[in-house]
Amino acid sequence: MSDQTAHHFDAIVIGAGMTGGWAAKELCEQGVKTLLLERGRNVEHIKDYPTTNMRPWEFPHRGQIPQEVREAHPVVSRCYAFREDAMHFFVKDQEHPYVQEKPFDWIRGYQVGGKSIMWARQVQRWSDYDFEGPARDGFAVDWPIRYKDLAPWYSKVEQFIGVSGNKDGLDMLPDGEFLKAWELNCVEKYFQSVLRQHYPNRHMIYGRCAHLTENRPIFQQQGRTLCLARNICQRGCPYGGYFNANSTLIPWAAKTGNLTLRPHSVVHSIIFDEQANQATGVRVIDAQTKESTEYFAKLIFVNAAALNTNLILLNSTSGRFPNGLGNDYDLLGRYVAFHNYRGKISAQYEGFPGRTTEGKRPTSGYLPRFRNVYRQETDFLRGYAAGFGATRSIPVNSEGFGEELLLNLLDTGAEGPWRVNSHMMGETIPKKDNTVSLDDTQKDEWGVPLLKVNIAYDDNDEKMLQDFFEQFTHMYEKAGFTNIQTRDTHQAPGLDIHEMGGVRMGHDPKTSMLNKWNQLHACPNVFVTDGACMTSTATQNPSLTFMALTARAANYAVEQMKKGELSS
Amino acid sequence: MKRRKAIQNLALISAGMALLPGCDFEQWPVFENLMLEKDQLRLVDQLTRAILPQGGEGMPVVSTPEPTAHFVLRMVNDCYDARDARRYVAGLKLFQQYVQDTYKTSFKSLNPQQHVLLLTEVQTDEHLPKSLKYFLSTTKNLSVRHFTTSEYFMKNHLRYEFAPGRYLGCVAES
Repeated sequence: MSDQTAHHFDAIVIGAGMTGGWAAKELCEQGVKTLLLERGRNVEHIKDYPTTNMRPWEFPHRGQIPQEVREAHPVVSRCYAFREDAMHFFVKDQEHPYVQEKPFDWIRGYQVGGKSIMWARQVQRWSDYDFEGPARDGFAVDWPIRYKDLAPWYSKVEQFIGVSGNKDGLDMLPDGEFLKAWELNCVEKYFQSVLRQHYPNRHMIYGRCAHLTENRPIFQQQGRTLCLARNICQRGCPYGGYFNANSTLIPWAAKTGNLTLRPHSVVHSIIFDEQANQATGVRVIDAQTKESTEYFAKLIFVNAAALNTNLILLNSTSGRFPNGLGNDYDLLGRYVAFHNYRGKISAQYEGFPGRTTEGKRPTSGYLPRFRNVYRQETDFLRGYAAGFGATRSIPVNSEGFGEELLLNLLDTGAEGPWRVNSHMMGETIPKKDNTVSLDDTQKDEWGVPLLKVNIAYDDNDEKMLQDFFEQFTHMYEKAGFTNIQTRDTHQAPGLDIHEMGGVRMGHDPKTSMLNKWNQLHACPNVFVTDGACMTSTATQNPSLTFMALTARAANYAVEQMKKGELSS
Repeated sequence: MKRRKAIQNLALISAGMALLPGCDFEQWPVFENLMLEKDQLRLVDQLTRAILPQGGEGMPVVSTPEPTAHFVLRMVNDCYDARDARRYVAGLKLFQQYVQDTYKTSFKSLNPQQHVLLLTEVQTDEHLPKSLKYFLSTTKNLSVRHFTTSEYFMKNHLRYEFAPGRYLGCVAES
């Protein structure tokens, strides 16, 4: 089914990150000749992980980012993972400017693999309490799918990427296809039991993470081996111990012989043919030479990462779509949402004084949302999940000078008390006026308008933050934790790196951009399956859901293509 | 003041003894934001050795990719903002002057006890200029960081393992 000239393919996938990688894999596996476009450079698994085996003392600044870089690139410098060991995988502010109408920290990874190289690897499923949220609570629009639509695709994704977890049997956080879990430590188990005793609907579980803890034939075929718990995943892992697109999806798609990967390809816009009434291809600017080229295909997947997917669609104007592709009702770029990560709470615990941990573990504890799950019970909508972890560290005494100082430093003995930490992951409500749009005058070096971002917290987010502080203070007190300290990081939206929406799914073309298969209602041979498609945000780390939606949509697209039913 | 006298007395006793091995300044990297003279580079080198002497009898041999002074100055040069870097250099000059004026000799020619007394005085004397104290505390903090991020210290004192491949959640503290 392919038209084999150099610029014609069966399908084009825009963006070679986590979801673009899934789209390419699914399409290529089913014989679809696929062009995978990536605006950044190629990053080959292992070969292009220059810092992966460096020890802490081998970094000239021991991990710290030089001041010159911090001053030139303040946004990315606020990202927790932008450190000396992985800074080469992040987009520096000046490399791709954008307009902040309100403060928004846009964290990006332009390379094959995208942000899947540096992601935090937490993979929690959604439940129907999440999918039914907008309909029950009267915000956004109803999701056109439910948990049962996505469940088999969650399984497919989990089995392929490898997910370590426990079967917890919780209705608000469905179980998946899990490899064995690392341990929770004594204090985490203790807190788990305190919650069980005092709060019937609050659970502290092991945070499910995309790491290989058991061998399976599928991982062998991928060339991946067990995670060794180095906890420096953001550098890329030579074992493929955690999932990223580079180790797992791209080589798999390439092996089929159906993949053409083209890095350094900035997509300017999607070409819409008024006569055929469908999209026919994409306009690409070579990132290095700035030359413009066109590529053509019957099927287009847009997986450029949430905000860049909005940008491409907004910039894809035509007589039929003067306000952006598929944007008949002024919905594109609206209802953008994110996760509220502002709250942190820490404390100390005097229990288990003689016990400690040994080794490392690439995850920690997780509290699924417990607020407003079964019914509305607070003066704010929705709720928050939270991370939870307990650690002990070795205090270093640096008093004195000379030999006294040396002896003090060498006199490391007893560990300090247990420290416990939680951070919130709050659902935010998508709002019409939380938008991204195109700047009228300013363009980037590839001739694409700059993206204007106008996104802010609201009163619901502030109330939820206070509730997180109150509830966790109570829970910490019940557990006998002391020296409880809450902290509002005041971080801008975006630093959560969970921006979603702008091209939302829904039933009705008048109130949503995409149908239940992630097709643009008004241009059905274009699919959007990255974070841009999200109708609401829930509280779970969203990547797993993006991947499941992508696999589902790609398989549907292939079926439709085979039936010749992709055009409108 | 009492302490200063003590240092001067000790200086007489130990006059002529070269106590601090030096670093060959010809091999120093360039710290373009600091613009230090050779004697200033040497002083930082001597100071880091006085703050945290290494290689003494019965003491562990801690090998690092660079001498401590290189690390200290690289960090100030690369990772501190311009204001703090200026403050550091100003403090360094005051430190040079302070040693010269107060003890009538060079830092290098003082012995380890004298160094400790001198450094303690700079740290604790509230009348001394802030930038002088800033210079000393920064040099000390970075020297300590250089030491505590060394392979020796991390492996032997912080239980560091590069690829542990295991996590045990509740073991007896050793």
